[in-house]
Amino acid sequence: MSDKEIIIKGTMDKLRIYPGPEVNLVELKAFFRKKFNSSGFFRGASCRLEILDWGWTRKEKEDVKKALCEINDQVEVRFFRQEDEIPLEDLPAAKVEPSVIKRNFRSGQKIAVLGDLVIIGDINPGAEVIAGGDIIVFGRVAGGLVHAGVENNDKAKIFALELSPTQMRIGKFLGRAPDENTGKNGPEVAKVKNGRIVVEKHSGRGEGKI
Amino acid sequence: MGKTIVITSGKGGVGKTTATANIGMALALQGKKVVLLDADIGLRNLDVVMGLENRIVYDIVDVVEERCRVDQALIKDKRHKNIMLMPAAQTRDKTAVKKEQMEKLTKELIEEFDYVLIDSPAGIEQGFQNAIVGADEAIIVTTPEVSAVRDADRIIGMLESQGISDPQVIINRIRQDMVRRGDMMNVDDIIEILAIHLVGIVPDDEEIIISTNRGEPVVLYDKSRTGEAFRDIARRLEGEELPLKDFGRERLKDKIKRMMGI
Repeated sequence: MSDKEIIIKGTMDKLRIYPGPEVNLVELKAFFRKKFNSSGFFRGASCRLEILDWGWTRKEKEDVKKALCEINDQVEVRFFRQEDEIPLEDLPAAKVEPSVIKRNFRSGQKIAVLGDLVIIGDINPGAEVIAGGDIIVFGRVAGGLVHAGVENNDKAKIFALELSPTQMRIGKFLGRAPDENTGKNGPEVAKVKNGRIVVEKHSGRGEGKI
Repeated sequence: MGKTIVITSGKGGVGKTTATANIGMALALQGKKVVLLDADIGLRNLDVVMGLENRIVYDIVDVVEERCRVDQALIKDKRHKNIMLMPAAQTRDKTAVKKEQMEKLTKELIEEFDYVLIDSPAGIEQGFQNAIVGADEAIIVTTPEVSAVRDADRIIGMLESQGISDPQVIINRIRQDMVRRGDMMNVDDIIEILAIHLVGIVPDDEEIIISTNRGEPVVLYDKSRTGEAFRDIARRLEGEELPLKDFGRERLKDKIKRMMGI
């Protein structure tokens, strides 16, 4: 690691930042802005972020925190000294309560949460809805990208009163809308079966259960 | 205190400028004092559609850069005393005006007028941002095409995040014959996707092209169907509850033409 380099390690919800000893605060803030503004995913998702502390003052640290909160107000920032480092795996996961959101998602709008996601409203073409767990939509998925179980959780499911997204992803699997899709099939559930995404009528029991 | 309304769409070529000119003129005909503000700097058109192109001396950039007073840049319409135009600059681009300047200008204008109608440029970049910054309300213009509706949806989302909630939509250039055949999206399909209030439907008609080229808003023609549609929109903006008209009825002229096979 060179003295000017900044290294990121971690998983989706836990990130650890290792700035080199020569990195100053201005560079660090510019780095965050570049990295996290460009990667849309970080936006709006709660996340735990730990930064290696080379002995900065309290004010300097507050400054960095503030800059990060401007990019994403759900981020939890913490500093640690080199000697206090604990393995990432031992950290508790960030909060994963289900999120309930009551609004429509229009083209260009995006949400990403870590846990399950319940949306009361419609999802229009061009929107992106991403969750670490299941996605349950009490409304119409008329298009857009719906990605459940984002962190390789193949057991995640997607439910909607009308399920016809442009693209559907569950864990690492991907499916796109059939070319001929009327989208008026009533409530449906999508899940991974035998290595591919299948969509079934929602029946409330047995196979078709959420 | 008047209302500042931005007329926008996302997609280009759906009829924002025509809608601005016609709604403005219709409101003026109802006795309201109206100013039209062309925010499409660098690609100005509203002056052409209004037929006021050759009267431009100063423009919006001259105003914000304080080369002239606001009233010097305002052009009085040649047909109706109640309507004025603030033209855009043609030799500059969207960066020539800043958000704060735009906000200040619209605030100043609304003191004098009942309506400030802002003709927004297409797109979602600075020109659009400038156009919406001073607006209290928005009218989205869309055509019955998937691409236009998609862009309208995006714009509604952006307006919401800027604090302009409950925009209204005009569906422009609808062709009932195509809708009946199932070849065109119908009004219900569009409203189901956009989930906002419909303020009017404007039929597709060649008279709008003729009037636009002549620089005469079509609302000035009494017998025009499109003019009637825009007059209705203006009355709805004034709070009147009017039923939506079915512009699908075939005019006698067209019927004869069709039967004769022309």
